[in-house]
Amino acid sequence: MNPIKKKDPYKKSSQLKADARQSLLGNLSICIWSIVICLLLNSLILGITANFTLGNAAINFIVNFLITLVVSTFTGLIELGLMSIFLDLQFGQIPHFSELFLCFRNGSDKAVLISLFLNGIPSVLLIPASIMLSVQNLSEAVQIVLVIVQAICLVLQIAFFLNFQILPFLFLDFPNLRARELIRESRRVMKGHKKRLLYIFISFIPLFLLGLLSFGIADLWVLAYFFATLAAFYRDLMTAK
Amino acid sequence: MNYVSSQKLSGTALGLSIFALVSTMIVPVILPLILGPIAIILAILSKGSRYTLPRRSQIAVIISIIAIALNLFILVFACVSLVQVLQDPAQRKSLNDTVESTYGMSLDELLDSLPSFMRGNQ
Repeated sequence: MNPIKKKDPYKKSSQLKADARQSLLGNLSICIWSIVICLLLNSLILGITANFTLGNAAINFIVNFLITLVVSTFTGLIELGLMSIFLDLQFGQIPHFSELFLCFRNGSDKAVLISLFLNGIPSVLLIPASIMLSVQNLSEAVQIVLVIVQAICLVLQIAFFLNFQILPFLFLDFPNLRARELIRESRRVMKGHKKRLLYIFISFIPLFLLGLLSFGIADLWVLAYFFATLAAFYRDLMTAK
Repeated sequence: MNYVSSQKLSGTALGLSIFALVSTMIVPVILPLILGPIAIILAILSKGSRYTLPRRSQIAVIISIIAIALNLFILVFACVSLVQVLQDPAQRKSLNDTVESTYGMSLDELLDSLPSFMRGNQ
């Protein structure tokens, strides 16, 4: 007996990219300008607040870490707004610039928690690398230990991204759920789909490298394409489920 | 609407790729390396949900790849040539004289002044 092969309800990476490109047609300028505003605000705020120098190296490190965490949480709110634009495009709605500041208007408490979660854990996982860069005259043994710890943290960071990359979309799509429920939901929805998302990430590496060749300018368009693909991935997951 | 957008995007990609190739003769390396990748990415985006690139986008990708390759070759060739010139005493002296006649300082003096310039002493 020939077993009937069950049709996969989920779209392939190429189909998701096609959906993303289709959603971007005619809306590319609003996406690019939103990304530019988001990046400018991000670098402006980080530029103003970065590199506080206090007497003690340890206190200096902790203060700078906390400042970066607060700032990245704040800019994370704008990034949530940016994701709203791409989600709108994916569902055939007309996006507006004002959506960039969506989290400052309503549901900001939950947005802060989500942003803190999405930016805080990766920041904590970057501590070994930050220590290596900021503390001088470390012994060779300490450096080796830090490199190993950072390598483990990198793996954890990738796992974190794969689990929670759709969290901004869930936050926008389910305004009634609490932050903890959204985090749990994100993990549940991503079960069995992390490999697919990883494949999408990897498939974008050549484009990001091409963008780097243009001193990062072309990456603005690549980012728009990437975010649109993530939104398409999210829509595919939710539609199939 | 989407067809028109796709056509516009592929037209922009083609224009940028041609400009990238032409600018190799005017502002080599920097301008083509900025415009070439943008043209390629716009060409890819112009595909929309189709399986193949529009005709103009295909041409844009080919021209951009040529422009990028040509400028990367120029960049590598310039770097290798500079290293060779700096290592050869006779050529280095000639280069020093040329730079001095243009800027009033030889290349060696300019290179010596770089660290103090970066420290903000000059």
